[in-house]
Amino acid sequence: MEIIIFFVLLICGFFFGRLSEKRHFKSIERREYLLSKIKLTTSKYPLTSDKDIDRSMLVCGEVAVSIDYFKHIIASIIGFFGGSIKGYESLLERARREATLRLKECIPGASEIINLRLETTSVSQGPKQHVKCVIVVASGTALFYNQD
Amino acid sequence: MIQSQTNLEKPMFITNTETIPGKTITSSLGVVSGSTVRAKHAGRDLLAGLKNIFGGELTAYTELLTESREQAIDRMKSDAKMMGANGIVNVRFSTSSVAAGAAEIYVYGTAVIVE
Repeated sequence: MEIIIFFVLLICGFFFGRLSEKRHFKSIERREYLLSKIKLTTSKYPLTSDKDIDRSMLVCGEVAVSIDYFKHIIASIIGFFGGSIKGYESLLERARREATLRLKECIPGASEIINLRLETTSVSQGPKQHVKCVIVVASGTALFYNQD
Repeated sequence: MIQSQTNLEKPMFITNTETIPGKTITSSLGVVSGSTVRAKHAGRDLLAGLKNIFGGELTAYTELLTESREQAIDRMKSDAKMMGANGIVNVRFSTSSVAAGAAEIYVYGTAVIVE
């Protein structure tokens, strides 16, 4: 009985997980294209230093993305044999890109965002202590230039 | 009464960088910080448990994070206001999982007076 439940969960995780991941990546690509005119940099100084800065403000974006059951099982298997866990890599990529997009979306009128910093944590719960979800917090300073 | 009201209306400049772009720092008052630890109630947590099978974004946890982040920044701002600062520079975030199903967001920066 337990084995049947295990396989049902595994199959659900596989199909719904793949579907939601594909949809999420498509949405990320579309929004990245729309917000591409806001420049992003990790340096502490703006890319165009000759422009007059009107004002600046701290902006943040955060997201919590969970792992599906199928990926979790595959990761445990790979964890036993060693090697790179592609499933988790794509999960973290999704979370990071989504957090950066949310950062841009909360301040659409800005010209540039400098000093981009990303902070990642995993949240686990329960006696089994497996990773429940990954949290990414992105922060930066948005700059508004004086329009000439 | 009126004095405290005008104090609340003064804008607070907060940035991630070492200086506030377009302004000069006249003095530095020390490190200020704010933190929160929050957990969602059990009902929402069960739904998150389901999401762990299917995968995808946990919107309840994201909302929780946004509220925590706003509260942590507010605490840091009031800390700085008590010191008499009107700006906070070099703001950094630190997140950690402290209790089951809960995450702590810690925000810290340097309180300064700017012109």
